[in-house]
Amino acid sequence: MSSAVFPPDLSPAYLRALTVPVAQTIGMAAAGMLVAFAAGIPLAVVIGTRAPGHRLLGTVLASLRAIPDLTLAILAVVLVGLGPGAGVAALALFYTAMIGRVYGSLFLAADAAPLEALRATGASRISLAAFGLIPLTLPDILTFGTFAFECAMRASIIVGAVGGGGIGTELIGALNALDYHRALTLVIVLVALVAGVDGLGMLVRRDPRLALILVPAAAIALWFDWPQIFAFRHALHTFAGMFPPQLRATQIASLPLLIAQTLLIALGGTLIGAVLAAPISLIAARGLAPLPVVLVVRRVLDVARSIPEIVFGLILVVSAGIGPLSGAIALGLHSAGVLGKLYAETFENVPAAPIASLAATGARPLAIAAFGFIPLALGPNVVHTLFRLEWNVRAATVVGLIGAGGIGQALFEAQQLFFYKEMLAYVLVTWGLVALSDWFGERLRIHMGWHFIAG
Amino acid sequence: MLELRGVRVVYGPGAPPALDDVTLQVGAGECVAIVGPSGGGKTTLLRSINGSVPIVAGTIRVDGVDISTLRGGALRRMRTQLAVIAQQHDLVDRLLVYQNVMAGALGRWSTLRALRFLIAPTSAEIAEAREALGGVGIAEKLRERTSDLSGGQQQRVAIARALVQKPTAILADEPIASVDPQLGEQIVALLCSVARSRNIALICSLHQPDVARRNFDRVVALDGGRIA
Amino acid sequence: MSSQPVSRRTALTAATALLALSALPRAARAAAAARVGMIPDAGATQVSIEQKKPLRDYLAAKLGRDVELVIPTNYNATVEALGNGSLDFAYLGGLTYAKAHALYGVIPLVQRTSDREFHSLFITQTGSAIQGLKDLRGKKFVFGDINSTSGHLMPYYAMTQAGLDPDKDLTFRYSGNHPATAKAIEAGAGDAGAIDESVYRAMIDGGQIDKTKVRVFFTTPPFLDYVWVARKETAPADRAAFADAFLSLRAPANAPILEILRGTAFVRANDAEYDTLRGIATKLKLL
Repeated sequence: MSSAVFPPDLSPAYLRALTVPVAQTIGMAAAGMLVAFAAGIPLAVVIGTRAPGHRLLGTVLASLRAIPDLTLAILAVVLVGLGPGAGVAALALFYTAMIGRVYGSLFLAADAAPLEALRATGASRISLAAFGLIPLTLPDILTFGTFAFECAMRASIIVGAVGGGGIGTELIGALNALDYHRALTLVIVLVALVAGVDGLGMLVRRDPRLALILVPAAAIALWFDWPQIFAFRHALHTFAGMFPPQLRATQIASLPLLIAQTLLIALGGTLIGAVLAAPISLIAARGLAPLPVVLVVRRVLDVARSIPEIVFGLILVVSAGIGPLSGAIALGLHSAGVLGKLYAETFENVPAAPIASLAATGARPLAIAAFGFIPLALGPNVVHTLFRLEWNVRAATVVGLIGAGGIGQALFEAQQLFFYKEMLAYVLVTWGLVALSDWFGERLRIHMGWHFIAG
Repeated sequence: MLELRGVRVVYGPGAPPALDDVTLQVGAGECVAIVGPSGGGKTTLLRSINGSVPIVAGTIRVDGVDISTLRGGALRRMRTQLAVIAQQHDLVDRLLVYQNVMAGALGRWSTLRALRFLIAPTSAEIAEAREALGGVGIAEKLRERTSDLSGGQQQRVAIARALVQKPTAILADEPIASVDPQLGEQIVALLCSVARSRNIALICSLHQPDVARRNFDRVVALDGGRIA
Repeated sequence: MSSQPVSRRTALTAATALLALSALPRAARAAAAARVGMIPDAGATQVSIEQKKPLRDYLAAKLGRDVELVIPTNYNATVEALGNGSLDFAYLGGLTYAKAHALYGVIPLVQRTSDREFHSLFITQTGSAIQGLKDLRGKKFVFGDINSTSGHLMPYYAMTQAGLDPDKDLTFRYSGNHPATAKAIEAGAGDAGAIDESVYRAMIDGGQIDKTKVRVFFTTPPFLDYVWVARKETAPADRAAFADAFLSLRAPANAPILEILRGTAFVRANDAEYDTLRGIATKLKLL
């Protein structure tokens, strides 16, 4: 196996050939995020200032977020044709909903006193946003913005897989052609791209004005990746053909099994991720392990985090066969990267006093971890794990694309066979499943009193 | 017993000394209160005794052993002789009360025994925790969640943990800073009584000189890093 | 707050620039190139597109305008692209053609002589006990893409002809494409699978699968498969030029192009000939 994958194909000819897809992927993410910020921030202001209709808007955005990005990408191909334009459209829609909703709640939680003072001057909503809401929440806006950009870069792989272009399309092609050397090259490129976004985010947080330099760059990307066509009539015709959603009796009978499969993939993936992340995070936390070890382990976690579930899935399909288990393992490997980092950060942020008292008894390091770090970090880590479970319900439908089973596979097969009425029915079931798991997760967190910890 | 001679602590180049020529002796079963303004050096004094803060001059001896010569495992073993009680919030509030109490034994337990205790404590271990809690008057809280206890009860748990450590000395850093005055006096009185009855040297920093005078054998004032 | 006027001015400039850029006519960029869709499972990589440069240059010369080769990642995207106009010509499998014709009235142009007598192969591990279709009962089976004629429709039909109900008598999965099916069987991830004969032979010849590990145990009767099609709205002259370009391919002069197309000669395609396939697909609820 290893000789079939290593070394990656780093020949000048291949690297030169990759410049176009890499540029497409960066462009897709940048252009999609530009639209998302441009459209999402005004929506967030509407929510943040409790303008008329903000409740409805919040519900609409939450619903949009419950549609997996893969499904949006499939619909985008119908509207704007093949190529990066479809990727831009799908990412723009998905992340507009995300930015609108998250920034909206950040604005709602902003310090009230300065905003009251601004309102007293009779300021309009726009100046309220420009002089109040945005400056007040700037650090959080930048942190989440970077995170969203990073997600968009990974998601551009997923939309590439269904016709959006970029290195996603390239990766699927390389794997279909059984060329693992090139697939590895592409995974390395992806990891580097995500790391680049991370680094850029750090620079922007240091000097927020840098974000403005990114705007013209993203605008140029938007121009290059602008959809070649807008087939509104075709799209209208196709979307109209999806109504009314319907399933055959045998398909309805198999729904419970499909839903159970999806939930099992999500649960299994989260479990695998948590079990892997728990011990790894202990050596990824400053203060628990020597600094050189921490730095190395953190890089390993970064790599696992940069590789989307579907890419793990595509690689596993080859070595482990197809099915729910490889779906769960794919989710688990990515989740391990995410959870490992979050767990480690929680360990680094536990209150210092109880740890100092334990150390003062002369306890050994592992005993301090067992009596101090682990119980103290338990609450936040349970919350992180629950958030991951919610995310994995969505991701479990996406790995259905590669034959992992569940509702996602049924959706993808219906779409592939042009049974659009059935596809819409499965989209609605998926949407309901994701929305329900989000709602349930939120209830659970409030019930446990852990609502305040952000994911 | 504890013996400090000419102790000097400086936190950074050019900074004024946090402790300057401090000499102090505390015998077994003796209770000494350290009073003085904030930033006067009370916390630094307590932290230097268990080796958390390095000293630049002088000696600190615990039972005759110079602690500045100790490193690594030897220092860790020395620390098992010195129980620490902090202001508050130094318990792990997600653990049960008896687990926090028996954390005092971690210094003498192997890692394996510590892990086994968390999963399956023996009846002897539970009995030891109950005895220590009885010493501070809250034996009935044995199996409760620590976060469900009041501030005063949590300080009693911290004292019980110190007792389980079977220390030569207890170092208490403003143990009643965040409880109301009446309750604070009770806790200080309790601390002194257990120290005397078990022949433990007690050094306790305090904000309130009157509480110090009423309960302790000796009161030392610390200001600008020097004993006044 | 001192940075506020500066950042607002910059933002305004950027927004203006953005508007100006998006207003530029997009047609100028595309320069009316003919967009030609290839088959998804050929390995949609940038490099493989570059390897197809002789084909692109040949078509551009014959059509008298630029040609852009596009390799979509799945059949559905190809058909939707023909429907919404983001592809002008495309290479489709038999089943996909039937769908695209029904949905968007795509026009069949030409096909390889081999496409008129195509076969699917049933493969299994060398040491397996499976000797015929009936032995598949209770086994784990691997199809290719759900939309593939040779990887799904015809093998499925062959099983029903042999008296099996694949939905009840065995468990099956879709690997997504022919090479993945071959790999899955070679690795033992499934008991048997169905694969396009030309892909299988190419993989054996290229050493991509070990011929000592896999064997063929059944070959389907011949059927009609792949076909080059045009979008309904293309100009008749363009369609004629496109068809003529393929029909006039001759070995050895056009050998490199024929090799890219994995064929020896092209003939005109006819919609009515797909009626048999339509009947099968409708019966199997795939159309």
